[in-house]
This record gives sequence, structure tokens and C-alpha cells, in this order.
Amino acid sequence: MCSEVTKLEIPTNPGGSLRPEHVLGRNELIQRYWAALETQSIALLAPRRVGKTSITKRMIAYHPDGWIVHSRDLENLDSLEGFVRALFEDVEEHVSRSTQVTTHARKLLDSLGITQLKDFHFKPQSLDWRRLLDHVFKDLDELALQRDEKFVLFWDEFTYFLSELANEGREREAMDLLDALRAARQRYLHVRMVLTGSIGLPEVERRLRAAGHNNRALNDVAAHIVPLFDEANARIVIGALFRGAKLPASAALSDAIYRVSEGHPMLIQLLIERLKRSERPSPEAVDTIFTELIEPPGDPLDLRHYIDRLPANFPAEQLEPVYAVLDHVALHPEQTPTAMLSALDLDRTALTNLLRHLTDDFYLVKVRESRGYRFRFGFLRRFWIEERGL
Amino acid sequence: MKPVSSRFSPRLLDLETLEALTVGREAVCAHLVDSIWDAVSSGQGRFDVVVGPRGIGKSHTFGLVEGRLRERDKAQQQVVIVALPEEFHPSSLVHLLAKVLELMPDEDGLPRVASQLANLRMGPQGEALKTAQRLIAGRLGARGLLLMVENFDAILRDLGTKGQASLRRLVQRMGCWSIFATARTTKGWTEQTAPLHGTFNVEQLAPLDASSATELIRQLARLHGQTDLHEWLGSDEGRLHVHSTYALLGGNPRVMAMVFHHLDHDDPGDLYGNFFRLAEELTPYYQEQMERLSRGQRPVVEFLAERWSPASVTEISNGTFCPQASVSTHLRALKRDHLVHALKVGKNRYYELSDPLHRIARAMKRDQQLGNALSNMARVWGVMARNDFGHASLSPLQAFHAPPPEYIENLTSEILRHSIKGDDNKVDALTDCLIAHGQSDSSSLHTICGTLLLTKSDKKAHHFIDMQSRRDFGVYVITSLYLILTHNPALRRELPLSWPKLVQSTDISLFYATDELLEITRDCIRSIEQKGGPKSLATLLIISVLRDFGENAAAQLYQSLEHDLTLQNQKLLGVAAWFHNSRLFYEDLVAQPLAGTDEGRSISTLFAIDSSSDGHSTLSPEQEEWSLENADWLATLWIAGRPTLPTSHTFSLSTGSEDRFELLSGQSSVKAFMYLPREMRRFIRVSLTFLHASNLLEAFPAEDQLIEH
Repeated sequence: MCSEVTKLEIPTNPGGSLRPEHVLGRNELIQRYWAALETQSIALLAPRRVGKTSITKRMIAYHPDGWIVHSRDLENLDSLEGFVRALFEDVEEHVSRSTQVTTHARKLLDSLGITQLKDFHFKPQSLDWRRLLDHVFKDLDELALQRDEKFVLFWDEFTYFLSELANEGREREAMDLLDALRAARQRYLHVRMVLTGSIGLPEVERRLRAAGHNNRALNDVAAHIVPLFDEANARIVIGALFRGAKLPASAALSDAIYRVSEGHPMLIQLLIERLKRSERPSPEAVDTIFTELIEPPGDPLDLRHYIDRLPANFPAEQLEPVYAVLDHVALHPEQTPTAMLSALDLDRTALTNLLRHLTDDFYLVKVRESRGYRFRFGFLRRFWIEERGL
Repeated sequence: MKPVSSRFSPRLLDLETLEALTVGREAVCAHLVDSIWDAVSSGQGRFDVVVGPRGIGKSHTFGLVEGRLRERDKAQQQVVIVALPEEFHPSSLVHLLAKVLELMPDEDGLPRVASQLANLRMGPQGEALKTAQRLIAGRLGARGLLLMVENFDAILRDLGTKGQASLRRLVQRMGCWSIFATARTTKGWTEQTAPLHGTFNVEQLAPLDASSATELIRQLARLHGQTDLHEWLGSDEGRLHVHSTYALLGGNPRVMAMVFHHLDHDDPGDLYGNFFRLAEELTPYYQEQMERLSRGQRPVVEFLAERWSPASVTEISNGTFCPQASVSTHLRALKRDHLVHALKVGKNRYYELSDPLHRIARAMKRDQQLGNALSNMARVWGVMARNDFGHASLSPLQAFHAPPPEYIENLTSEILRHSIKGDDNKVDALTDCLIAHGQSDSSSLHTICGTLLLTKSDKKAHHFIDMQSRRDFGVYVITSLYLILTHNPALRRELPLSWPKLVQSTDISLFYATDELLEITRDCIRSIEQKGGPKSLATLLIISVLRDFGENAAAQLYQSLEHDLTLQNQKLLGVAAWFHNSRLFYEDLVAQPLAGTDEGRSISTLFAIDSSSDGHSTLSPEQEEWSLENADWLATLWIAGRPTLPTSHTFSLSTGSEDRFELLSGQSSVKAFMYLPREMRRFIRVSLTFLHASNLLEAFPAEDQLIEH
């Protein structure tokens, strides 16, 4: 695995495609993920622009020995049929490259009289696609076993794909797929999945439950919320970007960037990108740039989205309580639910449910020490206070 | 013959010409070129988009960045730059990639592009995306790809959400593919829910400032070999001309380039002629734009184009006989397309056309008088804010260009000489120059203006005033009045002895005893109002007199203009009277029309508080009750109007300083302000700056605060 290079010069490139060797500050995290994969599949979840794709890119480029990796972005898929076909294509490409034998999946298609995948159509309730999926995993498992390795499938925007199915009223298909994948994970022990998404798994499960599907089809997958950089790793990244931007190494500047960005990768990039255009890079300039950056409209993080999406994520009758809870947490961070109860017109169950939902949806985070809740990002809290006129 | 300049297709120009015409964009271009180069040369993919309305200089920036990057890559061959044609509408991502492939250069050792394209077309459709991607990657080898795309927002619309997701996936997978694009908007493709959210660095192009606009026109003159014109544009008169145009039209580079092409090179100072020719050229364009609109949008745009004042949804609905809900839908679409912008005051929105030229073009075609008025007004504005027009912190009295004192002296002598000689054209031109420099030596300016205005027995001077379209549109006169009225008392001391009539007018208030002057003033204001001008101009004038020349002068002016004042104007005057400690003026004149209104009660109470030693004793029971009931905003007014006095008054001063201007910003004066067209709003702000009425100025939002993005 590539070791962390602390003297690297990296050009600022907010939102760009970083080379895997330019993805810094994530090594310990990545090691933890590989360790977790030894025993089970994992899900990497975080709001957009926190670095999930960069992390998986680096994981794939520098994967440890003993792993065969394959990645696919599911964002453009819109059906179960599309998913099964994509998986079949990906796997067949891999397996046929490694072995010349006809795959189990191909044999199944032959037995169904299908010579070309595009002719493979099925109804969601049919068993054919489940069998095909099972055979695909069987092929993967055998390949891995044969090479004494494990096969890991990286599926980007997996949760988005599921939620899109649910949004179109096809919760049944989503649930069937999750069930089939869980069965495959349990049966084929040399195959792992890395599911990434900017929508949390609990949120997906909630939508499926709302449609009457109560299976806990993802409870064997370890969900990891991708964190922002901690201070030490943020400084590695900031240092490399400073060198790339030909900015003088300055502890004060570095402090200011870490302080205002809270270790958010995109914000770090944006701050340094703008700082290098500043006539006098200074901690004060960092504050000014930051204020401009998070000021809608045109804020690259589109913070207004956190307000706009609430009506889509909560039933109408819950909206007022949701606003009340968020307003309250914004003004009284780290208050425990018990303390909140006295200020909000909610019973304990309703409050607990809302807090859990808002945590799953990346608005809030529970603070272990105080057992209270605060906004996941300090800048989101400030934005909320401003927008809501609190 | 290669083109020297192009208003619509700057990419046709060679790099050298583009460089020569690059004004006010150097920093942004350098940043883009360096950042893109740093990323592509280190093997990264980088995504930038330059955003702005039509004519703001996107294509120019695009051409310049492309040219500089190609130059830089000549030596290093690290990237293949592919620039899509400006007009390209892909049916799919495959189509887009096929076009990229088509535009890649044929190179030794690689298959012919044409044959690869043929293979792509004949290959299986389901494989086309992968094949196209493979073929492009194969031609690139170890090099990166820089895809340059104009009108990127339109292309993304063509691709749809799925196509955008595929594009994102593609560039992420390829790693070293970059995109540099221009777009009119980022709306619809950068939000959190959009596939490309957070991928692109957005560079908003701002309009040019006045100096850059002037420089652009000068460069155009130079490149077109117009030596005389180039020289004239460098003169005071020339600069004034461009500044005046700038004041009216804003800093859109394409508009400025159009202005250049419509300058009458034999008579370049003919501002009206410029506008008229510009309107002529643009009329078909706006007609075509109207044709492209939907059936429901057309009446809305027409309504706003005919109206010289921002309008609410209700007004548009009434004016077009279209239901409010439909009007709102049309306005949303028009706003998204940058054809209309919304001005936001509290919860209210007022709409006006984004492009002032659209309205001006219509007006010029229809009404020559209005056209003349506009050009005169523009000239005055250009003078008033030569360097910093429309800026929130505008301070014309400090911002004016400062030439050497002897220059001003010579210019003054010249004006007087030509005035006596009867050479009115020369007087006109030189006075403009002097006005442009008025800041540095305003006594000379005011001497001239005041003299010309007041010595009505002097035929030449009177003729000069006539020539400035006194009867058609009195902005020039009004502005001159402002200049006199806001001038410091040194005016009287510095008046030249050769103008005995003026010297005799030792009491400035006598100015207003001149019936004809009062008549001129009233006519001017009415004329402005009839043309859709600010309804509060008379009020502002009275306030300025009140502040600078006292209650007697203000009272004379008030009596002359009284019939034109609305109740809202009277309210503003009442507040102003209190602000300027003019109790007599208030009680004699304004109290009566305000009797029974909340403002009337408040102002009377405030005066009563003023006259009490402890802030309480002289209040009548009614006033006391009123002050208690309205403590918060009386306190607000008090803080604003009497900032130096102790705050030990009976009413609560708990109101925070941020609410200090609540009364002014929440009441009708601002609403009236909102009903003015953009040009007039600027005028008001400039006027308030002249009045040093910073508290009022704060109540009238600056343009950048008004426009809802």
C-alpha cells in the first residue's frame, strides 16, 4: 500500500478528479476499512463532497494483497433489471479474463435460451433474476477461491440507487434486491461489498419500512460514516496544498483553515484555492473567504439544500416539529433529549424518533461525552441560525 | 482579412488581439490558466466554469484561456485540448464523445480519426459509449484531455440528469480528463441533488468597472486604427462620454463594444445618436428574443419593457390580464433564463427586465424626447459618479478625478469666454469636462453652473440652460441645483466679481425668490415624474435645501412644490424635518398634512421630547401615551436622529442597533424607492450621498443587496 507522502505538492483542485496518490490524510481510515472487510461487507456513508469517492479510489488503487477489486457507480441505474445486467457484465468481464471456462451465469442464460444479455428481460417477481444473481456471485466466489483471494465489489451511490427505486414506487424491487444480496453475502464467503452513498442506510430502510417492507436486509453490513479530517490529517492535506499553491508554510494560516473548515475536504480545497488569489493571505482573509463561500446563493456546498430537502424527507405533519428540533439544537447545542423535552412540545418517543432521523440524514450528530446532540457541521449550524433568523 | 474585433464571436480572434482587448479580466484569466495547467500537468482532472449573463465576456475569456493554454502546451505536449464548437447540441453522451473524437488531431502512429469515427458509428449501439471512451483514451496515451465547452448549461440540459451522471462518472473514472466551460447559469446542475454538484469551480464574471469599460473602447479604437478617436477617448470629454454611457448601460463588455461600433466618429460625443443607433441594431435582436419566449411569457416581458418601474406580481397580473399564479410561473422561468431579475424587500418581490438596453431600445424607437432625456441623464450621472458609479459606498464628492488646479482655472476661464462669445457648443462641451472634474475644485463648477442658472439676464447662459433640455427633461437643471445646494458656503465668497447679479445675491435663499427658477424647478420635477422618474425627487430637493440653507429657503421651495407632494413624500419630509431640527418648518408646513397619521403623531412627539429638558415633561398626555405604545421605534428614530444625545429618555432604548433604521426601511419611502427603475434608484442613492444623508442612504438598499440571485 502506498505510504503517506508528507512532502508532496498537490495543486488545489476543488471538486476535481484527484489521482489516488494525491488522496492524503486517509490512510488510517482506509486501513480500518480493509480490516473490517476481512470479516464483513461495509457501507461508507457521508454527505456529498466529504471524500467517499476519493477514499474508494485510493482503496482500489492501493488495495492490499489478497483482494480482487471491482468498482461501479450505480447512480445512473434506474431498475433492478439494469442492476442485474450491469453486475453480470462486470463479473463476466472479470471472470472470463481470468479463466477461459464458461461462467455459471452464462450457462444459466444459455439454459434460458438467451444468447445476448440485452434479450434478458424479467419481471421483478420472477425467480430468473435471483438465479442469475446467485450464479454471478458463485462465479466470483469461485474465482476468488481459485486464486486464494477475496473479491470486493465497490458500488458507488448504492443508497441513492435504492432510494430512486423507492421514489418511483418500486420499493418491492429494492427490498427483493437487498434480500438477494444478503443471501449472496451469507452464501459466498469470499465476496465482499463496499456500498457507498450520500443517503444513509437507515434512511433507505426507513423508506422501505414506510412501504411495508420490514426486513433488516442490511444488518450484516457494517455502516461507517466517513468522517472529516481530524486535525493531524487535515494538516497533512493543508501542507501539501500549500506547497502546491506556492503559499508560504504558516502555522497561523493552517490553524485558521482547519478551524473554519472543521476538516471538511472540499472546504479546505476551496479555502486554499481562493487564498492563493488573495493579495495578503492571512487568517483574517481565511475567515472572509469562508463567509463568502457559505453564503447562498452560489455556495459550493449548497447548504440551502439542508432546508429545502426537509419537506421531501419528512411527512407534512412532522415538518413543524423537525424545524423546532433543529432550531432548538442550533441555539442549544449538546443538550440532552431530556433537557430538550422541557422546551419542545413533543413527547419523548416523537423526539427520539426525530433525533434519530435527523442524525441518519446527516443533520445532527450525537456527542458521546455529553449525550446531547449538535449539528454535524458547525458551519451548517451557523447557516441554519442565519437562514432561520434565530 | 482577419477580424480586428468581434462582438459575438471573440473566439474567431487570434490570441494577440484577444490579449490586446483583455481589460479588467487579467487576474481571473491568469488564475484559470495557472490552475488548469497545474492540475492537468500533475495528472489530475479539473473542472472550471465561467458563469455570467450574455455579453459579459465569457467567450472572450474562453478564447483567451484556450489560447494561453495551447501556447503553454506547445513545449510540453502534456494535454490534448479539444474545443467544441460554440453551437453544439449533443443527443447523448456518446454523441458528445464522438464530437470530441472528431475534433482530436490526426497524429503519426495513430489510426486516422475519420476511420475511428466510422468504426464507432458502425459498431454495436450498446457498446458505443465504452468504444468512444476507449478510442479517445487510446489517442491520448499518457496525455490528459482538456475539453473546452461553451454554453455548458445548454449541453447539460440536452444530456439530461442521466447523461450528467454518466459524464461525471466518466470524468471521475478517466482521472486526467478536465473540462473548462462557460455557462449562463449554474442553476439546475450544481445543486446537491444534481450529479455534478460540487464538481465545478464556478467563476462568476462581473461587469467591467467604469475605467475598464473606457479602456476597452479605447483599445477597440486603437485596433481599428481610429487614431483620432483613440485620442479623443483619452481626453476628458471622451472619458466623460464613456462614463455617461456606462452609467446608463452598465459594464457589459459586449454592450460597450456595441457602443464603440455606433460612435459617430465625426461627432463621437453625440450620446443620443449612440443610443439611437444601438437601439436600431438591437431592435431585431429583442424582437427575436420575444419570439423565442413562450406565449405566456411574452406579455409579461412586454409589460416590463414598457414600464419604467419594477412591478409586483399583482401589478403584472393586472396589466396583462393573466392570473397571478401563471405570472409567477412565467417570472420564475424568465428569472432562471436571466431575462428578468427580482428585487427583494422583506417578503415582497418586484420584477424588472435584467437588460436595461431592452427597455431603452424600445423607448428610443418610440419616443425621441425620452431618448434625449435619457442621454442627458446619462451624461449627468456619468459626471456625478465618474469613477465609482452605483457602488454601495459611492462617494462622488471624493471619487472624482483630480486634475491640477491650474487646469480647472483655465477651463473655467475658457467656459466663461466662450459663453460671452456665444459659442454654446463649446460651452456645453467644456462644461461637461469641468463638471467631470467638479470634485477637485467644486467652487469653479458651481460658479459656472450657478451663474448660468441664475443670471437669467445673460442670454448666453440662459441659452445654455435651454440647450440642456430644460423643458424636455430637467435632470440636468435639477442636478445643477443639487450641486449648488449641496455646495459649501464658500460659494458665495468665491463668486467672481465680474458677475454682479450673483454677488448681490448674498443670501442664498434669495435664489428661491426667483420665480422663474422655482418654476423651472417645478417643471423639471413634473417632467421627470411624467417620464416615470422618482416621485420623491421634490422631497429630496426640499430636504437638501432644508439641511444646507435653512427653513426659510426650504419653505419657499416647499410652497412651490406642495401640490406635487404625496402623503408619503410629506411623511419623509416630516422625518427629515425632525432629523434636521427644523421644528418651525415642520409645524408650519408638514404637520397639517400629517395630522392624524401615525407618522404625524410620532414626529410631534419627537419634537416635544427634543424640547424637554428631561425628555418627558412637555409631552402632552396623548403624546406620552403614544410614546409608550411606540417606544421601540421612537427609540429607533431617536438613536438614528440624535446619536450624540444621552439616551436617558422615558421610552425604552432596548432596540438593538441593527434595528435602528427599522422605521425607514420598513415604511413606504422604501416601497416607493422599489417602484423606481434601476437608473432612478441609483440616482436617488447618488442624491442621498450628496445630501450626506447616510442614515437615509442606509434605508435604501444598494443594487447588489436588492437583486435576488
